[in-house]
Amino acid sequence: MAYGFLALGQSGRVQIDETYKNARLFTSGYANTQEFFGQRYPISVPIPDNVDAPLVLLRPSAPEVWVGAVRTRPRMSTGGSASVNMEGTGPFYYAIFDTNISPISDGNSFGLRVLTSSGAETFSSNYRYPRISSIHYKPASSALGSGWPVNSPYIYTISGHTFMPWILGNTLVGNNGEGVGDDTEQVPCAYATINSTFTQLKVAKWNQEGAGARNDTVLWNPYGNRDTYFGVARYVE
Amino acid sequence: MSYGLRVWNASGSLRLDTTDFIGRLIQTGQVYIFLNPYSAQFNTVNVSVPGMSNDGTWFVSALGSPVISINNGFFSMTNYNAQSSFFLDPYIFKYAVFRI
Repeated sequence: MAYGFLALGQSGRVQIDETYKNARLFTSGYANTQEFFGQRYPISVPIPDNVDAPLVLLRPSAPEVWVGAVRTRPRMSTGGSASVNMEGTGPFYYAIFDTNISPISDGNSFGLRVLTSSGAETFSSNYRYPRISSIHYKPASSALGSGWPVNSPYIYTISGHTFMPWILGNTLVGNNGEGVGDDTEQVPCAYATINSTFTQLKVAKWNQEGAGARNDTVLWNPYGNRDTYFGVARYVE
Repeated sequence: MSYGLRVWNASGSLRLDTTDFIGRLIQTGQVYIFLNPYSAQFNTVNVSVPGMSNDGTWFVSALGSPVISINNGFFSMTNYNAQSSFFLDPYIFKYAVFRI
């Protein structure tokens, strides 16, 4: 006899089941940052070296605050602990999830807990999960391919949000800046923001500042001739 | 009639709503993306994921911040880490594939 647990959401897709585990929140915070003379400054959050593949959500503190340039860095053989770096034109919240790191727990002794047949946990109401609302495809042939400045961003329509949603940070890539040339060979990064009615996700490439900055060329565009995707979520603190 | 699972914690905080999909972990792994500092700046590796399609229900998180492209049956990771070109070592990217 088949047995287990399966919850289907309104679209008929699987929400949780007894087979696949989920990424859980292990750290979150508020980055009180701002742009200064057109320059954005990275916030660095240390993460455990045994992190698997961190899922990063960013939430602008207000509409039209741009967030992004996410750099998830492993522990390098040349030194330095694992970290997540990110930037914003104003304050923003961040939440980082992983499948391997011990999650933040509410510490409750009751609720819903779903286990696999081998006893591993796939879901617990004690933990917080990235509640993904929508994923939006960006084809390689779109305007994002070669140029998409902040004054002409790529715009996706989103729906169902009555308060500021979270933005999937992993595809808002930033340069990792490892080692030699760290300060002088910066390249464009990706940023996103939400409009005032929470109905638009805007994505743009934002050039870096500084001597030796390599801007505005397809070669240095992270999405030049590549398709990718962007997303929004409803993570609740 | 709406349906689905809605879960609160003991404090009444919503942990899952009927319209939520929290990303089920389908596959994990790591790949080596070599960089040649004397030729192409970016290098790409394809990772096979049975059943994957670009239908808006799949996403990938990765350590190392590669550019991710999702395709039918696989995704690709492009090393967008220019400064690593100064190192001849391979660069290891750990990844996790989720589906909502």
